[in-house]
Amino acid sequence: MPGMAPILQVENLKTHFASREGVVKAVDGVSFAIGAGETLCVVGESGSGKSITARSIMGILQKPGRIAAGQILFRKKDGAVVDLAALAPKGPEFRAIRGSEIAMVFQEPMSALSPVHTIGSQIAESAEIHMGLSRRAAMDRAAEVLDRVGFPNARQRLDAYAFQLSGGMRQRVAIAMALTCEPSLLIADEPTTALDVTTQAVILDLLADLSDTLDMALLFITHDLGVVAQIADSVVVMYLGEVAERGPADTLFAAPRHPYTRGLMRCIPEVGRAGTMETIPGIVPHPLNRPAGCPFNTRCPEAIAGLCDVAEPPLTSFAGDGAVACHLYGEYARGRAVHG
Amino acid sequence: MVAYILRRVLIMAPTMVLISVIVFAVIQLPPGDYLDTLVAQMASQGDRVDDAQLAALRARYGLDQPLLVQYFRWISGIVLHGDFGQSFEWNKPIADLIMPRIGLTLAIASVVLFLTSIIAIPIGVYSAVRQYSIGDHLATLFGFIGLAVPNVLLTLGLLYITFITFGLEPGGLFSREYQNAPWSLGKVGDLVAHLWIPVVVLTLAGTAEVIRVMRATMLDELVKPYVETARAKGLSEVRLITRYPVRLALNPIVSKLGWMMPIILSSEAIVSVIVDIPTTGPLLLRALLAQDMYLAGAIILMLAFITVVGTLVSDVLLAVLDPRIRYA
Ligand SMILES: Nc1ncnc2c1ncn2[C@@H]1O[C@H](COP(=O)(O)OP(=O)(O)OP(=O)(O)O)[C@@H](O)[C@H]1O
Ligand SMILES: [Mg+2]
Repeated sequence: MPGMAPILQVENLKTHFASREGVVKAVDGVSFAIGAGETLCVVGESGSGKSITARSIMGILQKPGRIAAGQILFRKKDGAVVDLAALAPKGPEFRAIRGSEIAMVFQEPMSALSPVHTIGSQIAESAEIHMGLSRRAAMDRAAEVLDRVGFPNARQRLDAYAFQLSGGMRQRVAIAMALTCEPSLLIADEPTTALDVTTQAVILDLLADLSDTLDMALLFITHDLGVVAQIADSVVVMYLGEVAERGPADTLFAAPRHPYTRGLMRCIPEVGRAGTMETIPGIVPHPLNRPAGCPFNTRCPEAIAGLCDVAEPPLTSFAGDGAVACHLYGEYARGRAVHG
Repeated sequence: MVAYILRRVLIMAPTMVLISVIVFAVIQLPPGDYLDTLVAQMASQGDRVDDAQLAALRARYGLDQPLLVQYFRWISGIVLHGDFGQSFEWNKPIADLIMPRIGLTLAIASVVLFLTSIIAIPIGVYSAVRQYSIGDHLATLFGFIGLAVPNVLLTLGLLYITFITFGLEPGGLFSREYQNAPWSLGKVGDLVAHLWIPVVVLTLAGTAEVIRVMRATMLDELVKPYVETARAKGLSEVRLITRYPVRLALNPIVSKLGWMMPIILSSEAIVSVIVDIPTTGPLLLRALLAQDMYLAGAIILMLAFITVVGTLVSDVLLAVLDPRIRYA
């Protein structure tokens, strides 16, 4: 939905972990925006900084992680825009937003729920603290949202415990918990990875449907480009804490620009495709040992010696909202076009 | 839940039977039987026991019967009539001797457990939440001291200090002037003055251990995903920590407290002997030295019973706290 004022705008976000061995730049200069009601997918291999980006937005970074630079501009329901990166994560202003206007669903539905509290009380808690509801009214609200996420017999099962539920049902509880206060942005960090394939599809449909009907922006983190193709309005491809490429889903899938994006696409298993599935050669470099130049140059089949391993590629924007951080599209390419 | 408790109680029964058999075996350990000891004892004091009385006692304890019968007489007397037999040293029914002392022992143990919990749990939580802070280091240091200093040494030290600074002579429950006085604030104060040393010594030893367990469990719990979920809800840190990780970290503590009961009971014996207060410990020691075996057996049996009941209570508490156990 281009043209719309974004609900969330991340500008040059840098989140670093300082340890004795050095500084892990888990997120290093990430920018993207999500419009109201839009679904944005963040993809990338393990360790590319997807979860840390999400946690930075939520203000739930674990020590020693901290936002070193950048802005996280969030438009609240009252229209005011706040920079979450500048708020104290444990302060009252941030807490009023967290769980109410921005909510999050985690990967592991079993361990993400408390084993000793009923699901009802865990869901109702958000309603109590953010909506000021009484215990009773909050429980009613819990039944309502549980019902909304397709939990059978919601009202009767408010006093069930997480360990009495299947993985899919637990994830519904986690989603209900996130939806309680009708957030305008829902962050889902690989919410289907821990589920079996059929349940994955069901939960995915549910999230897409909720995002549509509740006009809720969805920031969806995944490894799985198949999922991205299914639900994304726009896509951010991350590599080693940086944005390799971003853009609207349809153009990105039709014409992936970054060699890394193209590599990822070749990894999507397709039914009936002959031959073995390709993988991107090489391994993701250790975060403390980032290569000079383009972070992907050590694995890139199109790397240009003397350029890609020396200079970091700037982000080149294209008409129609796409952008790519790759020398193939920057000054070098233009220079080649002129001289060649 | 009811089924769970019932199951626990049922497990308790064979445990108690086993313990009673062992205790009975202990009673039989000294050479000769109870009456031989009694006669020898009386003789040494220049008394004579007349044969009719001897015969009556022999019949009562079934000493001419096989061991199995003796055991059943002994245990059924205890279970059915609360009759532990007679202490020959004190020449009194054993029940009358031990009940007040068991009351005092239990009271001290309960106060110790209570104090340990309210001191150690908050310190353990603080230590974990502010890991490596000055407070955490102090707590760890305190813990090491508590673990390293022997109870005996600590007791003697405290006794010395009390004696030097207050001129208070320890021993017994009350000072002479309060011995037979009716209850008053002054008498309560006097009681506290006599009991604080064992309470402090026993609490200190337990506290160090519970702080250690609480801190370690909290450190595990604090990084669990459910804490992150709760944090993502926007809870304040205080509510978040008390409602989630502390709640879960209490479970191992509750079972720990159950396990602490026998430890408290046995360290209590030593400390009470030193400060000379009338709990079961000193009585047991004396009974063993005098080979007053039915008395010794009765005390051991009751202490074992308290331990088993303590474990039961902690198991039930655990089930109340943790639905995973309740529904298992
Ligand atoms: N507590 C921490 N201390 C130090 N480094 C950390 C910490 N948490 C994360 N990192 C580093 O941050 C980088 C990004 O981690 P992140 O969890 O965001 O990856 P991800 O893209 O979500 O991967 P995955 O797909 O496996 O979830 C990793 O290199 C990781 O080593
Ligand atoms: Mg992740």
